[in-house]
Amino acid sequence: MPCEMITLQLGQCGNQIGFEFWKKLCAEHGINPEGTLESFATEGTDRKDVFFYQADDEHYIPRAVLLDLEPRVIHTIMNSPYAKLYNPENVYLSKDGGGAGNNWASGYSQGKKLQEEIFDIIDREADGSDSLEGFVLCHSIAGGTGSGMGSYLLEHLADRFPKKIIQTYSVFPNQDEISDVVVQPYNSLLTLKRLTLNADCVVVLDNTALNRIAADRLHIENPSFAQINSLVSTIMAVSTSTLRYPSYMNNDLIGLIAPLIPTPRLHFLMTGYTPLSAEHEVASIRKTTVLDVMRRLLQPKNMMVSTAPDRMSQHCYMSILNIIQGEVDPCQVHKSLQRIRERKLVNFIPWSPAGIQVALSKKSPYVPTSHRVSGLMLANHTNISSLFDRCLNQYDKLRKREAFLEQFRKEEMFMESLDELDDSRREVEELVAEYCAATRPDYLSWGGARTEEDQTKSH
Amino acid sequence: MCEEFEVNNLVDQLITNLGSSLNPEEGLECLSAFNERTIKINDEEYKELALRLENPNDFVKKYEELAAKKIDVLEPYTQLLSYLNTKKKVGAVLNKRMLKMAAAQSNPLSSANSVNIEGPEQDVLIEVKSRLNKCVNDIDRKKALDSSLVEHKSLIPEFTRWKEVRPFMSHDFPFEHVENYCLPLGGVPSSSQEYELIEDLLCVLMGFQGKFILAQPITSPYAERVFHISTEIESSLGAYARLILPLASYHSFIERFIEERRLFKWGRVNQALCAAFDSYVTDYWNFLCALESEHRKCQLNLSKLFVLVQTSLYSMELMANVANTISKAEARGGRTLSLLHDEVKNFVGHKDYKNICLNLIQKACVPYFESLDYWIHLGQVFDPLCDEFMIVDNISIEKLENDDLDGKYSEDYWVQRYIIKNDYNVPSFLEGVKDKILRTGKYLNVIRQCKASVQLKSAKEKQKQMKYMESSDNCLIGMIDEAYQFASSSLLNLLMKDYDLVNRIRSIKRYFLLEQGDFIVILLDLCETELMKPIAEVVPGKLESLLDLALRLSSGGKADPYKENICMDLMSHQLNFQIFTILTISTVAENDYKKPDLNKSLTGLEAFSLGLSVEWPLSLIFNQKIIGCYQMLFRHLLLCKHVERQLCNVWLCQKSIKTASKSTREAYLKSFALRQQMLFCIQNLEYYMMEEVIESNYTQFIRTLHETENIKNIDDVMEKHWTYLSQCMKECMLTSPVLMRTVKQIITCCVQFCDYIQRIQSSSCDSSFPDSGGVLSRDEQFESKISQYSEEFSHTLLGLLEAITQMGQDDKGDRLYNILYRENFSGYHSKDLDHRLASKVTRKNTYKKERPTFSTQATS
Repeated sequence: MPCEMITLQLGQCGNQIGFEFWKKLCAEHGINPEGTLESFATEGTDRKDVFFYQADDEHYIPRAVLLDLEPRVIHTIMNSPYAKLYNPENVYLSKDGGGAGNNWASGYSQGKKLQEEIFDIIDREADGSDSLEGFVLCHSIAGGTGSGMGSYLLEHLADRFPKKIIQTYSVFPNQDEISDVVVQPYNSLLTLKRLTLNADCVVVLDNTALNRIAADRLHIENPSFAQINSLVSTIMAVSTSTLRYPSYMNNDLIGLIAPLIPTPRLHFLMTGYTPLSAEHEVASIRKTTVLDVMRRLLQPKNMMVSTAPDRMSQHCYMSILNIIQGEVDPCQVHKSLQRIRERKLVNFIPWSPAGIQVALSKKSPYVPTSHRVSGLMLANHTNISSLFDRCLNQYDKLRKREAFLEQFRKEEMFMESLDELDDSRREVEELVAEYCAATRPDYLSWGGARTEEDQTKSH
Repeated sequence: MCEEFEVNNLVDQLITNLGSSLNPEEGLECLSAFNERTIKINDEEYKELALRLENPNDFVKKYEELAAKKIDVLEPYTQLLSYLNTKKKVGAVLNKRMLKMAAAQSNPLSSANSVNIEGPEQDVLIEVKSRLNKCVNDIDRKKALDSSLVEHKSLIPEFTRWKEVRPFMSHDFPFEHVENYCLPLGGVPSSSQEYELIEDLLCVLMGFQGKFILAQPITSPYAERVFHISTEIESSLGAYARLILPLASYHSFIERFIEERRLFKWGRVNQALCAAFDSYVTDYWNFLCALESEHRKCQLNLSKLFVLVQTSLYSMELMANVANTISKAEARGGRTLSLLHDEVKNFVGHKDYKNICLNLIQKACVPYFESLDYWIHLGQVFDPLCDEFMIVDNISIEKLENDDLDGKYSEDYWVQRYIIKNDYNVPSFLEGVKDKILRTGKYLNVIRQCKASVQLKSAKEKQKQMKYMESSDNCLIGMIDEAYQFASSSLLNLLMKDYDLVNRIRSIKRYFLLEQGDFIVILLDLCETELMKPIAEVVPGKLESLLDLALRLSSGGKADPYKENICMDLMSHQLNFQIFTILTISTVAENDYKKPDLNKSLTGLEAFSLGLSVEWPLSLIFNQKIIGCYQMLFRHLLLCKHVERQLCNVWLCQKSIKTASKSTREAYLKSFALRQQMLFCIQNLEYYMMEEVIESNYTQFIRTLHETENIKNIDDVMEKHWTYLSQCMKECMLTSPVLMRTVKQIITCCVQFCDYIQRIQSSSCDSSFPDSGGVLSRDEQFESKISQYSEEFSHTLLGLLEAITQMGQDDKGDRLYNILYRENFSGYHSKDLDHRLASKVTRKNTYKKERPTFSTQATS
């Protein structure tokens, strides 16, 4: 069976997201928390085997690996009704249980130490699938385990499975509030390097934007992790819906992400979802048409990434994929696209043809929704570089003061020098530069143009 | 649109063949003007026509002879002649043509018909040619049919020819040759002559030779009988006798008709007609008997006799005329009824005489209606004396099918098993409902074959009677309608309910039109390596089992009960060729499709297609042609999917480049961009074909299927199904040779690019990435190769967009235009496209004018 995906959940954040994700998948496929099929769901034409496999007793088991260095979140999961869902062999908790102390270096080195056991689990899981298409990694880039151990895993997954797609759902820290993790800029930067070099597709989930959306769109004053994570899980579920409910197009992950990512390094995707409605408010149900959905998806306020305002307005979309769910007539889609095109609502890269791709996907018949049509946008926008720019700035501020570097120096990687940090900074800077270059028509001859520029500078 | 093309084409050909300078539009106008002319040729024109000939008498004679035989094509033919006569321009053109044509070239028309005014008539010739072609096509079919009929015909018993065995039993002057001279009157006084003459007249009226009135032997079978009255009879008496004698002629004719036409070979309708005549003849004899007894009592004189026979004279004349018409036309079966119907329709006269006509046709209809009853109520062809009834059971088809297909029926069965073989067997009063009649029985047959339990009742059992009525809205038509409604709704129910047609169509869409996307992914995952081999190396058994596996693994597999019907079908020809053979695209550019590319052997992928095995009667709906259409769509879509996967593979191959050094990545940028362009193009094409074309058309098709006012019978279903498929194929560009070729080129270009990249990648993977310093030449080679592909690709894609833009100008609202929106969403191609269009406009004036010749140019 094709297109199987193995989900790796790392750290506190990763496991929480993952937990919500599996909850959602179970509901959509009619699988109860024990892993058995609900009686009403036996006739389905959905593909459960993308994310689940069946045990000998026909129970559905997620292809998930739960990893953490401290027990809190995993214990919560194991005490929830979904405890029996997971394969206990796939739940790995570091024995010392001390966590990574929000330190990337600690997470990374622990990852190295535990690699054999972890890759044992991953290899076993990979062997158990007929034709594995790739891995989904859920983590945050700010903490210790998700970022550090995640980075280690990313580096080695690509080596071990060169032909598999490595997709990550990476949570970026909230910029609006002061983090209790002081080394967050270091962690983020170091992880960003791995995401740039070793991941094939990164779905950026920006906590800043997620909180903003929760407050503005869902009218939740102090959104809880669970509420935010349910938002994230919606995005994860919808973005995989075409794999799970097969129709004409986009039935494998590669077909979904390849057109979104023209050049391999520029693989950071933004998402947007509409219409959003929280569980507590049912009242404001608007009439949703395809055009409404598509237009709203293009509005920055619905984006799950908060980017700096684009003053030069040079930034543009490299690609857009709208996954539209619900009762949709292809003609409406066409008309909406026509309208969007006429109104010039979107800017696209000048060096290649691009457009709004649409995937029409089925909805789960078991989860009632109040909206006729809903849509998820996956977009590759050059302005995502502003997010990385921000990371660089914060890093630079911290680095200038040489602050909080002792914890890093304790670890093997940074004992001799801080070259790794400088190296990471260089990579991220290069990434930002490439995104900027991609806005220009001469991007394809970028190298040549830039060297000339450098030469003129040096003169 | 196709027809329009065809006509244009034909006119064009015609004009070039004629070597005329006429422009096509004018020619077309002429032709349509002629078509609209339905006025009957009037006598004046007819005479004028005759005058132009070298031997007008021959023409007139031939014309009348043919007219008597009631040849249907005679009228249009003379119309054509007269039209040619009046149109001097056409005449001149034809004359010129005639001069050009060598005398050696024999003209089939001149031999077929001695009348020939203007030498070779090219357009008639062409029409004849096309008809001949059509006939040739039909011949094979008919041959089989005829052979079965001949077999059957030999079984018809021979009716004893009493006229030959017992000539004296005849009432039509059995002794006409015996004593062919008048008895001498021997000086009978003129007062007694009247008595003798009446005696003789009565004898002659009975059909026997008289003494003084002698029947002359007839010169031809349908000639009027003439009598010779002895010259010794007094002239005044003779004159009276001559007034009465036509009655004898009529009687003679009717008797002759009865004796001849009651033979089995003339069929049951004629027999029934003879019987009807017979009863009138009996009445006539009774009347003669009465006359004779009067005569014996000496109460009859010639003038009284003359008055008395008046009624009979009219009625017998009427019947003789009817008999004459039917004899001359050598009609039997339905044609006899048509002629009788004409008589009734055209009759003007006293009601009593009209009743005779009505009575005759009603009697004659009885056996025909019996057959009709069997057919529309039981679905059986009852035609014991062969070739009388309109419907023919082509048993050979069943035999053929049974031999070839293990009892599977197909479209041929539906079309050819029961046919209206000869239109002249359809009585003219049933002409309007003949299709209904044909289909009623057909439906009943299908129902009978599928559902044994169905109870059919003939009209007789229903205690109803079919009767001929003069007015057209009679109960006969009502009964036919009723039977038709019953049959069509039963069959429709059978297929829709018992055979779950809608879900089957959906199931086919799932697999043939790739709605079950994971099925295709699994299939290609499993079979791609096998399919990439040349067809000769492909192991069909292996493919078959892999297909089976894919069917079971796909998520639709559990839910779809009809997946078992899907099987594998390896084609021996390219997709193009299949399109040509099935659609017979009627433009000149079809040459593109016609020639199977023999130089290139097919790969497994090109040959691979799904097949469908369904049982009767579903094979009626999913016949070869329909499956062929599904297959063509499948092959095209599969190819696109394959290319998409190849491009995705390239993406996978190249994803590791992101860890490479900056200069290396920059070297690859152009190839990334090209891959992106191709992927964008292919995916949009797929989206367009699948979601916008197939899904939209399917939704509409299913919606119509559920509308009961649109779908009344199975033929409606078939028609709508065909509309759906042909619309899909048209909008997927399969039917347009120009577009199809361009799409094919785009695909080929993508495949070549993928092959190249994968080759490079696999060779460079071994020795890590090419170092920009060391293998500069290799890099340059790579770069030039990529830009070459890029140029080719953009060029072809622009060609496609251009062609579509131009088509869009012709008919707005065409869905093809959507492609433009999708492929050029960001306006990336706009500049180039405008440029190309502008240069085209300067090259040619306007596209519209060029259109008729567009297709011809495409081939040259």
